Amino acid sequence: MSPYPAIQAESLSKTYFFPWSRRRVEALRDLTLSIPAGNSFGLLGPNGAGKTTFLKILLGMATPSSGSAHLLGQPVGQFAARERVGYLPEGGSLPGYHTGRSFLRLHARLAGLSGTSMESRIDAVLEMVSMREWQTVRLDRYSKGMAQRLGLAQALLGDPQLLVLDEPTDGVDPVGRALLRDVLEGLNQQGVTIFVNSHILAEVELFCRRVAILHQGRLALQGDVADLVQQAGYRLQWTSPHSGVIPTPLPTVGDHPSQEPPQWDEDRQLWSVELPDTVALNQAIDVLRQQGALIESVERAHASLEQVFLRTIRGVEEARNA
Amino acid sequence: MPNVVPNETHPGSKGRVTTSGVASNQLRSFVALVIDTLQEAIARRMIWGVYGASVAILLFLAFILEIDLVLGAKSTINLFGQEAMGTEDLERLNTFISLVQGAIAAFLYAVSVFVAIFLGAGLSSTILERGRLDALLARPIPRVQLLLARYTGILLIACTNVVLLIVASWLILGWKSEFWNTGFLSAIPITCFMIASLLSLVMLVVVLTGNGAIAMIASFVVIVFSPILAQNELAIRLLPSGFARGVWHTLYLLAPKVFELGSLLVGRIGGATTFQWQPVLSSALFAAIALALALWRFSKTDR
Repeated sequence: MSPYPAIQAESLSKTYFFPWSRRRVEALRDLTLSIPAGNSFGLLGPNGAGKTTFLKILLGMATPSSGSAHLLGQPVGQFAARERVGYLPEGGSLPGYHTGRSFLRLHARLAGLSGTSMESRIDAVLEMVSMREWQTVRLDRYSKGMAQRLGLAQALLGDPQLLVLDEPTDGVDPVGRALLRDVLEGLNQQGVTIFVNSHILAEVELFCRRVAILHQGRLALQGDVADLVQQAGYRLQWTSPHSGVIPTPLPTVGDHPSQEPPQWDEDRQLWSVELPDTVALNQAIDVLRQQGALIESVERAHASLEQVFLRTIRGVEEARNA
Repeated sequence: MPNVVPNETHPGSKGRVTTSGVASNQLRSFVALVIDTLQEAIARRMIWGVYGASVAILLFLAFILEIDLVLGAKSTINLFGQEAMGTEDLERLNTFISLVQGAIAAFLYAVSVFVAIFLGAGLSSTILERGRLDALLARPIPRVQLLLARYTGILLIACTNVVLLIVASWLILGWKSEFWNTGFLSAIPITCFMIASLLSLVMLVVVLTGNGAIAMIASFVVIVFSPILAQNELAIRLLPSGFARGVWHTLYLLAPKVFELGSLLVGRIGGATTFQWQPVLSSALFAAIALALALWRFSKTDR
């Protein structure tokens, strides 16, 4: 495994200037980010957050306006930085005139492979993504899921230490997603850094141990997925003696104005509420018990990554408006 | 301070790569990209279209020559009651055949140039497709190489077609007329040169606009205006203002000399001993500047 961070960005900024409309767009603003080698990292953000710009700077497709970035210790833009990087572009757009194998041959040669080592490497990556039986079929006959799998095989040709995946499961069916997940997990266990740029938050949650959220070109949040989804506190569930009626004092319990009101689960005939900490939890239990409610369960609440994402974006928007 | 690799050896590489190793890798990549262009031309049946058109032209030439030109010329001479041809008649026949060959070469020159532009516009824009280009740019190869390899691939197909067309036409003409005019073969370098020049323009327009159709239109505009601009001396005499004369003359100097090179080609087949280098040099300069601009723009633009 590389002793250097897989990705390191220092005060990275990118401004696009459109001369015809004389408009400036700040796609990235002072982004500093470090992703250790061997990690599996997800980059999240709404449309226009700067994710694609960041990815393009990393892969040498765009030059930063200021700041610097390194891949596996090499400055981005240099060939050496891309030698050990595999990249799966968004949407694939594979050239339909190639067969699976001839497409991989082209990319293998561009990755510096040749002869028998090239052929055996192609066999190996086709095997990894379970596409060996489709290698002689033209790419314009592939389904979207097959194209994504072959795209991943292409990214794996150069035996990469860092794998950059742009929307890897876009259009892939559940079986294909499971296969991709298994391949990526296996690679990550071998020390390959996985960097995923995705809108499908549930997938990122499954693929990645660590995530960052970009909003309007700035880093809004970063952390381990496990920590981020656990920070919501506790989920309390109870049955009320006054079925279907919200116990009146509860919404004010704990003095947390942003707390969501209790939810009624029709199927299970239960009330539930999420409480931010143990103080709020105990206050809520006291109030509910006084009203004769029966506590059914108390568990650590897990917010989904989507909830964390939306909360973060809302927080940034509120702070900006304030 | 970023934690970066302190020396030039990449941490993941299997050893220090020598300069010759890098050059060999670059050459291999270049060849792979040229082959990719050929594969695309074959798979999209463009190559068959080009060679099919050439075969059709050759069959047409063989048919025409059999019926009208050579036999027709011979019967014309026979019509004047000269059964056995003397040296003078043979010279007249050779001059006539040279004229016919010049006309045929001019036709093949025009057809080859148009076919190359169609081919170039179709094959150069596809490499810029999103996703496909991204995967190529992420590879450790210079961007210049991507575009140059595509240009080379297209030029290779177009020039192979020119060689096939001209050599086969020369064989047909020689076989039918028994007059082997080696000057006819000069159509190969002249036509290939003009194709290279116009393909540079195609590449530049495709890089600037991402649109093969616009590149095709731009090339046709250059071809259509070429005979008009070729009347440079006349225009300079007739134009009233100095500004208009300056604009005309600048355009004349800058534009590739499609018409003049065609005229040079006809003259050469007709036995002209002098060769004007000015149209060749200015067309070469145009090609170099257009290609250099295309490569520069392609390597500097954010994708």
